[in-house]
Amino acid sequence: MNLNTKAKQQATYDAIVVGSGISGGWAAKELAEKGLKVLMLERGRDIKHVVDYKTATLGQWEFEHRGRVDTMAREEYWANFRTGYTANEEHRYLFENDKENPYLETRRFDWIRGYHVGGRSLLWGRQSYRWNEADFEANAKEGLGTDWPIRYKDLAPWYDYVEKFAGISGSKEGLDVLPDGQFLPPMQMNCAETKAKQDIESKFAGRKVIIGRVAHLTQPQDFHTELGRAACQFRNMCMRGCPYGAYFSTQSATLPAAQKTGNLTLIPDSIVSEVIFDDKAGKATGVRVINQNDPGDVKEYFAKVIFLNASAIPSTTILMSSKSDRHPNGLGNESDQLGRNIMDHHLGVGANGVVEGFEDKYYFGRRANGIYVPRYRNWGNDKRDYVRGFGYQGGGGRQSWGRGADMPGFGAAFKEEISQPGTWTMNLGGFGEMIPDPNNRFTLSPDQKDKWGMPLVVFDAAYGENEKKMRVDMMNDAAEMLEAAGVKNINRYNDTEKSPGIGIHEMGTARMGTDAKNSVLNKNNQVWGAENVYVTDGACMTSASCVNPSLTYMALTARAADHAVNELKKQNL
Amino acid sequence: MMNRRDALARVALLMGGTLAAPTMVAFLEGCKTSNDAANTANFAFSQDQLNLVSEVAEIIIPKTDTPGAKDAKVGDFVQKMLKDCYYEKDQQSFMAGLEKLEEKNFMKVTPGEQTALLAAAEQESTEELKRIGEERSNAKNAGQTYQEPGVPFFRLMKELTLLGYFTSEQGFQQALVYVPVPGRYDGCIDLEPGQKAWAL
Repeated sequence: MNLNTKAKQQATYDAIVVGSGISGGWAAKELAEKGLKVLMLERGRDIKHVVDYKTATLGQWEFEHRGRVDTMAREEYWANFRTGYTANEEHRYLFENDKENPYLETRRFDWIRGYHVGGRSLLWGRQSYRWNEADFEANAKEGLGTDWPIRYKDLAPWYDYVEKFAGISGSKEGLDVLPDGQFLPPMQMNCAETKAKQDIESKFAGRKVIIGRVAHLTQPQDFHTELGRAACQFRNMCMRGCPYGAYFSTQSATLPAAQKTGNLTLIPDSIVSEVIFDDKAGKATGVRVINQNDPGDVKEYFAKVIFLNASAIPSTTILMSSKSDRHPNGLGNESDQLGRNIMDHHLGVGANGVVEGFEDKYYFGRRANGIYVPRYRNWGNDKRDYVRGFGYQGGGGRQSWGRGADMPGFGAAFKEEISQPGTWTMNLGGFGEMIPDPNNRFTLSPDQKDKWGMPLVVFDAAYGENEKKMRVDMMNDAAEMLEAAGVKNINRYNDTEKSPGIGIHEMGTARMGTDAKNSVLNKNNQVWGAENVYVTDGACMTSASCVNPSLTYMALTARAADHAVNELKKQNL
Repeated sequence: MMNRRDALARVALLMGGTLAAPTMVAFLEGCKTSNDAANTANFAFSQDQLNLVSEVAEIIIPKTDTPGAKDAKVGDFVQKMLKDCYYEKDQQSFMAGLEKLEEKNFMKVTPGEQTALLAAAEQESTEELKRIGEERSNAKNAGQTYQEPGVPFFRLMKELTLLGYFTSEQGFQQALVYVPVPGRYDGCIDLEPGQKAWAL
């Protein structure tokens, strides 16, 4: 055996997973548990569970600017700064420096990234909702985008499977619009929220107010504890990383499960630039990797099956950069759909106000969760002048010292007053579906490159008329429901300056479909014409629903991993 | 991806409803140019100014049965925040207000006169904010972009004093009640008379 053959053998695995976030973690776990030797590549640095969560237990006073964004950070984290919170001192270390990782905008897109082991599984909002039957049928019914090649029933058993492992707390409600799942006990509502629920549900037929379904262990099961996970401690410091492993992340859940098999190799600092495609064999053979700490250090790794889970935009970027005789316009891009139909959820619209009463009531603990109002528009007999719908996330709470800035006066009495809990307030923030539009897209810059020689991403996307019409309802309905709940001084808001991306739910750009002519991926998340490459992150989404997407990525990934292993057994890949 | 959505409203909710609007504008809009950053980085109080700011902070949040602004070193905090986190125009509006107090011999007048001077400064800030709000809305209605002026002195002073005090170790743990690891969530409990708010 010559040296080259030996080196190639050492760089060869059964499967390569690109990315270590929510979907990458699931791919690695499933493939490793089914007996494959798995290489997981992560472009960013390693973040070790607990020990690398460097701000997790700090008091607010221990941050130089008490959490606020200083001028230099504002400049360097320019995209993060647009969100109003991701650049904050407490968790900035887990978000990307935008100056070092630049991108371009023909039309604005707020691209918020987490390049490190665990990706945004450490940073997500943890809200976990199933899609419903209609979500998968809407494109076909309305003639928008292209039809999903799967239906709810295809995914339902996989929702069961991932919910159980991840640990989702929530209440069973028996709603078609928001199917129930395998839940741990729900978190409690506070006094004001319980009253709002009663008022809203009694005054509006078909509307429900429920506690958020969230990926926190409210009652860990043995298999959670065995991975080192503990119950939620209600600190509400989740985005700093959870030292209790109480919320689902790669580090708390899928990574230890994958490592337990002895089948996983994890290599951080590895930027995948392209998939290597063998025209003669008609399949992918591996990936090319740039060392993020040394752009000149390029390696190749080989495997029978490759999962792209780099998050929507980077996974599609890899496909775009993977050109061969068979795939001259990028891998699986016969349809010219690669990079198109970027979707997000649109938000920054709703209402808030002051709740009267409950002066003698309070709460204990910091619940990293809120209330949820499932979609009711364009549902059942309701018909609007737009398609699809929206849900609300919100909550109530008592004002804190921050109210003091708007109160006249100062001195001992003033101090005493604002040291005590203030009046109750309540917010309902809309969360709307964005429909697929082929002109909402990104391309790769022909001339501008990053420091690793990768072409810069150029975004060109905006909300359309459907979203704008929907937002009128999102604002007015919120105000109407708060009013019904007896809320006073109602403030309606509709931030029209918001841009796609701000929801940090990038979806689409390598959609699933029924045919290579209308899509990039088939019904099993395989790339058309490169069937041993699977894409199971947000890139695969054919439409967006109005619910948070991560749980659906988990289910799609577990399903695709099962498919890949079966196909390997049948020697079809 | 997160339940945080609608960052502003949610941040406002977490911070207790109404977050200081002008400061939020200062925090949330656009970026400084590198030039501007270089200019603002030179910002510093003289010792007299630091003493004055500390005194004003103490009058806003005095020592009572819990520590006051001086105990929490709010003067240093205000300086650091103005230097690191604010636009040059905010630094200028702050210094202009400070100079007015210096002209009135603030450190030498009686406590009663100090209170009167600050009450007047608060009144002035309130009127200025009202004017700014009207100009902003007029500009918006006319389809023009409005050049936000610096945040008026007393407003900025008060916001930074509250932030500096209530997020300090003393404020967090003594003026408020900080439970680092609550361990559970009880949604609806009785509030004891005089009970302090949770820190966070």
